[in-house]
Amino acid sequence: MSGVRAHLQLAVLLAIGLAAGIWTFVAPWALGYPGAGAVAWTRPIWSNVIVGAVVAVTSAAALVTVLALMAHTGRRRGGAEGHPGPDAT
Amino acid sequence: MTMRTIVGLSWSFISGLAGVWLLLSPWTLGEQHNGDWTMVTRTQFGTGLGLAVLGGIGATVVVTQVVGALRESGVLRRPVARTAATGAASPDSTQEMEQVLVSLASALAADLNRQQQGARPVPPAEVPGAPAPPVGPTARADAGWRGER
Repeated sequence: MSGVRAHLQLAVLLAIGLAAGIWTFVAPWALGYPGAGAVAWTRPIWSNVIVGAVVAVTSAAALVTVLALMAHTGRRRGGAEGHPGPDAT
Repeated sequence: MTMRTIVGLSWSFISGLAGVWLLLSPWTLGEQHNGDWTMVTRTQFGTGLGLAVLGGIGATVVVTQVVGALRESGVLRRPVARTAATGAASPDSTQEMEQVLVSLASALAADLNRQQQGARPVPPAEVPGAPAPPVGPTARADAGWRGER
C-alpha cells in the first residue's frame, strides 16, 4: 500500500471523527436537551460538551498531523521522481 | 509510518474511550431510570456507539496498514496457503519436511547413543536374606566370575 493512500484512509476517518465530535458538542442545543437554554447546565449537557470537545480537538489535531505527513510524503516522492539521482541511467 | 501509527492508534483509543463513556453516561450519571428511554438517552447512546465503532475501525485500519507495511518490508511472512485440502504439496515444503525429519532422526540417534553409553545394570528384585548385588565398575566382572564358578 502506498504511503499517500494509507494517509488518505486515516484522514477520512479523522474527518468523520471531527464531524462526530462537533455533532456531540452541539447536540444539546440542536436537539433541545432539557435545560439547554438555562444558565446552569445539566449533567447530560456537560457530558456532551466535554466529550464532544475532546473528540473534536483530538480529531482536528490528528487530521492536521496526518495531512502534513501526507503532503511531506507526496513531496518527497515527487522530488525523487523528478530527480532520479546519479545512479539513474 | 511510525508517526502515523502513533497518531492513528492514539486517536482510536481516545475516540473509543469517549464513545464508551457517552454510551454509559445516562446510567452512570443517573439520568436514565427504568422505563422508556428519553431523547437524551437515545442521543447519547447512539452517538457513543458511533464513536466507539469509529475508534474500533480506526484501530483496525492502522493495524492493517502496519501489518501490510511489515509484510512488504519482509519482516513478516505471508501466510502459506494450505495445501493439505488439495492433497498436493509444493516441492519447497517437501524439502523442508525432509530436512526437519533428518535432523529429528539424527537428534534421536545421538540421544540413544548417549543413553546406551551411560546405562547401568538394573538391580534384581530384592530377596530377603540374599546378598546385596555388587555395585560399581567391577560388577560385570564379578558376575562373570560367579558364572564361571
